[in-house]
Amino acid sequence: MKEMLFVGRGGQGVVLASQLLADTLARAGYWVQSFPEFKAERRGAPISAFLRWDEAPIHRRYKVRECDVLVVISASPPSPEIIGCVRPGGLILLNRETRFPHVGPYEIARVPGSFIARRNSVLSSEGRPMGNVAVLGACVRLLVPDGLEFLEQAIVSRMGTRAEANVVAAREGYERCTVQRRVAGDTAVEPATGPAVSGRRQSHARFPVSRTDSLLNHTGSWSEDRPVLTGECTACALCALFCPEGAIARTDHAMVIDYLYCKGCGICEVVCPVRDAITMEEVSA
Amino acid sequence: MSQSLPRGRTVMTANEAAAYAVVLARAQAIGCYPITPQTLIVERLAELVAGRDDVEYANLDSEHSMLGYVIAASRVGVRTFTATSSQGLLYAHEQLHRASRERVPLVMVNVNRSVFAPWSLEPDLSDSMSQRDTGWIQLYCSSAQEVMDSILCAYRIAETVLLPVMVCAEGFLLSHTSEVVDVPDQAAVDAFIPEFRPPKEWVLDPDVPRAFSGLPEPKEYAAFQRNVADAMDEARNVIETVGSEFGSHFGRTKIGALESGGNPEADTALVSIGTIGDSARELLDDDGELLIVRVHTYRPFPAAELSSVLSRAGSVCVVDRASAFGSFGPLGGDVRSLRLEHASAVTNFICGIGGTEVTPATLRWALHQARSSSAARGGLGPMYVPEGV
Repeated sequence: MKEMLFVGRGGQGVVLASQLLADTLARAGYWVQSFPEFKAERRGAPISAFLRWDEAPIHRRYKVRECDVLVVISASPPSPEIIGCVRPGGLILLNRETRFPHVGPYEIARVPGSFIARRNSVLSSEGRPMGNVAVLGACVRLLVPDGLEFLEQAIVSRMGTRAEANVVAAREGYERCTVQRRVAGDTAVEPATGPAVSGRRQSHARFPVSRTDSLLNHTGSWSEDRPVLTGECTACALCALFCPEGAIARTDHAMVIDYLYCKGCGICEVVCPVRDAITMEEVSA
Repeated sequence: MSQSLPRGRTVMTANEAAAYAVVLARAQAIGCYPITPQTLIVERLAELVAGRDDVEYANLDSEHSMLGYVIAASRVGVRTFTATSSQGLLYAHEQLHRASRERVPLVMVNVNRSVFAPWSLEPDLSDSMSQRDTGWIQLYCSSAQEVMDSILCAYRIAETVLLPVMVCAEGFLLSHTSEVVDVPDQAAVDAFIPEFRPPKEWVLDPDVPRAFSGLPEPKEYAAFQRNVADAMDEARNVIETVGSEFGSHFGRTKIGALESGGNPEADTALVSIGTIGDSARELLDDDGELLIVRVHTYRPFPAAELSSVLSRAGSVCVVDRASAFGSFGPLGGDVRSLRLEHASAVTNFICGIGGTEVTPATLRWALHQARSSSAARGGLGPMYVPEGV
C-alpha cells in the first residue's frame, strides 16, 4: 500500500486534487481511499488530504501521518513538520518553479503548477491560478506514468464545462515535471519535533474555555495574498459586512483593513461593487 | 452535476453512496436539513431529483420538523428518506421515539459526529448510540460500499417489520472518504426492493378520518410498546434473511448481524463496531491468536450470534467509540450482559472519542491490557485508551 499526503490552503483545490487522483488510480485498476483532514472549512486555512492506494481492498480507517508521497499544492514551501511526515525513500512534489534548496532521504520533484494554471486560464472565481490539476499531471508522471488518460477521464467526469482547460493544464504538468538533482549548497531540513499535521497537544483543561485572549490569534499570518484598497474605494462598507474575520472597519468615511487578522481570503474583493477598489496583492515572504 | 446514476465500479464518498442508494431504492419523499458532515448527502440528492415530479424533496426548518415530515409522508404510503448528524439527531430525539412507536418504516442515515460541548465536527458514535433505546433498528457501517448496501437492505427490513432503520456511518472516516463502490443496476435493485405496501389501517386516508396515536388506556399503551419489542425481535430474522438474499442477489458479502475474522479458536476476541472493526483487520497480519468481530447490527442486539462466535474465547476485549458516563460503554455493557461459556473476562475500552485516531497501536494497547492486566478485569467501568499509545 502507498500512502500520500496533500497539503495546501482552503480554496486551492487540495481535497479535489486528492479525489481526482483517487479516481485516476481506480481507473488504473487500484483500490483507493481519499479523504480530507477536516477542520472548520474556511478559505485560506491549512488543509490536508490523504490518499491510499493498493492492489487489494484497503482497510485502514485512520489518517495518514507518515507518507510515501507528499504533494504541496500551495506555493509556499512545506514546514519541517510536514516534511518530517515523508518516509525515507519517499517523494516530495512541490508546486514551484524554482529549486527547493534542501536535501533529505527523499526525492524532490517540482512542477510550476500555478504558472501553468495562469497561462491556461485555470482560475478560481476570484481569478487566482488553480495549480492543483497541473500538479496532478506531475503526480501521474511520477507515480503511474501510463495513467495520463485516466487522469483526463477523471477530470472530464468531475469538472464538466471546466474540464477542457484543466485537461490541458494536467498534460502540461505531466510534461513539465522535473525531479530535482542535488547541488552543492543544498541543506538538510531541520527535523521538527512534535506532531506533524494537527496542532500541538496541550495539557488538558478542566473546562472547554480558551485560555488565551482570542485577539492573540493572528489569522493574518495565514495570508498568501492580501487585499489592498485603492483610491476608487467609496467606503460603502460592504466588504466589512462580508469579512469573515471582522478585519475591515470604516473609520471617518474610509475603510481600514487590519492585516493582523486579514487571512487573505479575497471575499472582500469579490463582494466589492466598485471596480478596482480592492486589488489582491501577493504577500512577500 | 449529472442526474444519472453511476454504474459499476466507481469512486465516491459514503455520502454520495448514500444518495445513490436512496435514488436506487426509489424514495419518494426526502426531508432535509443540513448539518456537517451529513450535508453532502442531501445536496447530492437535491441534484439527483431536481425537476422530477415523482419525488418530493422538502427543505424543513429543523431536524425535528424533518422527522415530522418523513413520518407524515410515510403514513401517506410513500417511501421516505432523511439524514442527519449529531446535534440534528439529538434535536429530533422525541420524534425518534414517535417513529418507532407509530411503526413508521423510515430509513435515515446518521453520519456520526461527536456531540457538543465543546464543538467537534469529528466522528464518534455517541450521537446515535445515545439513541439506542428509541426503538430504531441501528446498522453501523465500515465502508462506503456497506453504506450503500445497508440502505438498500434497510428499506426491505423497515418495510417488513414496520420499524424505522438508522444507518450509521462515521463522519469523515466514511462520509468524506472517496473509495471504490460497486453500484448495482436499477433493475437489480427494483427486483430486490418491492413496492412499499403499508397496512391499510395504518395509512392516512382523507376519506376515512381516524385518530392516530390518541390517548389509550394504560394496558393498551403497554401493549403498543410490547409490539415494538416484538417487531424488534422479528427484525433479527428479517435482517439475516434480507442480508443473505442481498448477498446472493448482488453477488456480495452478506451484511447481517456481525462480521468475524481471524482465528475462530483464539483465546482472545476483539469486538468492535464501525470503522474500528475494519482497521482491526490489520491486527490479524501479525496476531494469529486473535478473533475479531465487528458488530453491524447494534439494535436489535445480536446476542445469539455474538454468544455463538465468542463461545470459545477466554478473554473478550470490547472496544467502544462512544462516551459512557458512569458505567460501561454501550457495546461493552451489552457484550458483558451475554452469558459467554468460556469467557473469564470481558474488558471494555473506550477510544476514538471526538475523532481521536484509532490505529492498530490503539487496539494493541487495549488487547495487551485485556490479556495481561488484572486491573482491567471485572472492573466497574471501561478503561480509556490513552492518546498516542
